Amino acid sequence: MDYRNKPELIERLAAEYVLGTLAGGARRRFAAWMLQDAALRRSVGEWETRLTPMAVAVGEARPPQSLWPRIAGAISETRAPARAAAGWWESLAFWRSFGLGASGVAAALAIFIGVRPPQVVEHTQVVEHEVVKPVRVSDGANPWQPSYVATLTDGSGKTMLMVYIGRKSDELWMKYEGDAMPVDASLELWGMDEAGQPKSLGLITGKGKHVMKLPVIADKSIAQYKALAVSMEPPGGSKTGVPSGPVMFRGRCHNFW
Amino acid sequence: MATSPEQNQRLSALLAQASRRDDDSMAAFELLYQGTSSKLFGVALRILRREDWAEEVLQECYVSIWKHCADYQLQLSAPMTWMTSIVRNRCLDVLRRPNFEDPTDDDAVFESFETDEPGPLALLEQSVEASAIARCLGGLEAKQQQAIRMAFFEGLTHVELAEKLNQPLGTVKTWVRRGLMKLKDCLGAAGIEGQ
Repeated sequence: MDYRNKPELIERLAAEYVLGTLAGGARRRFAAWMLQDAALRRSVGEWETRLTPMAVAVGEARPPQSLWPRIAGAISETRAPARAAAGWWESLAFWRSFGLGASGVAAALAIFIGVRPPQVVEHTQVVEHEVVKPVRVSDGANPWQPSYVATLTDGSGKTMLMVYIGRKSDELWMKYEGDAMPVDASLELWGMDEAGQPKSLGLITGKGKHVMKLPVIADKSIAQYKALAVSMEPPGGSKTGVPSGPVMFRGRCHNFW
Repeated sequence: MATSPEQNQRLSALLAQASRRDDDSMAAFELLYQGTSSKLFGVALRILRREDWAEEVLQECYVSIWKHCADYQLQLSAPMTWMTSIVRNRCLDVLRRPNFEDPTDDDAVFESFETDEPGPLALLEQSVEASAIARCLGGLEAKQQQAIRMAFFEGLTHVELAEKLNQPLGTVKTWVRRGLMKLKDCLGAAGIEGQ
């Protein structure tokens, strides 16, 4: 169902999300939608302001003394300096083409993949709304040429995450298209192999573009994944090594060389 | 969450100091923890009814609050509302994880933690927002009020509410929906318009 342009429904869902009665798949869809819809976040904020004062009625309880040192320890682990993005990242034409019409390009890519076997392609073009846009495709010599590409979409088909990896590179470049990050949860990226077995690739650390380090070069790691998926996990990532929360976005991993 | 304007100002200042990530940030964050953790632990314990889970949730939430305290400036809600919402949402996730075992119905688990502070009604009257919601809740039909209270304080879904109240699911959903909309109107009339 498309909730947009239905203010009464939005209002009701926001209220029930805050109250907590919105559960299961509906809660997951709502949470995914919140990441990209400011009006919805505003409505949720309003309901939090209305209902949260009820929590005053709950008596205080002193947590054990040992809790603060644990929190302080966990925080100091998160304080490692963030890796800065390289300059070429900003100017990469490849990204701009995605940024201008991500879903159009994604659809074009999918069609392209369907009509020509990627292995034999060295240079090609991505067609977006009949406009030809050149995209250089790797011949394998330059690790920074696009080799593995995935467009992850949410349930409504909206592009939420772009992933791009050079074949000889151990760095995964991604662009998170949502305009908000969940505060009380982490978004974890997974590679899914042919058997559907997930392997964690790391956490999405914020809005916009990021670099993630792979344990080994893409040819030895990403090559085995048919699809990528993002699930919503407890802060810091899944505790079980497999997705424990709802899958928010998913997409096929295309191999361009 | 209902807190006095002075408290809100102090908590906002501590969050701002923590978000600067300088030498004083951690000290400010510790003060924030000292000033809010008993309240938030009470909220987590009330919903989860398990001390170990409540501790785990609190730890995760304070780490999240630390990471996102720069974002707080963009929020329009009071700091305690923001932090309480983070804790409640996390508690609801924990309650609804697939391998959830039903906690014992032993209220002593959390009662033993509660202090001898004033009772719920007295607490609700401590601030404008809290007394407004207490009054507006009191104005709802008894069954609407009960359903909303149980959902909020125990983290129950519609299905669980229907079971506990021994009512058809559709009936319970209607109580909740109508109750929430009446609350909104009543709070609006009291000058509480969300943000």
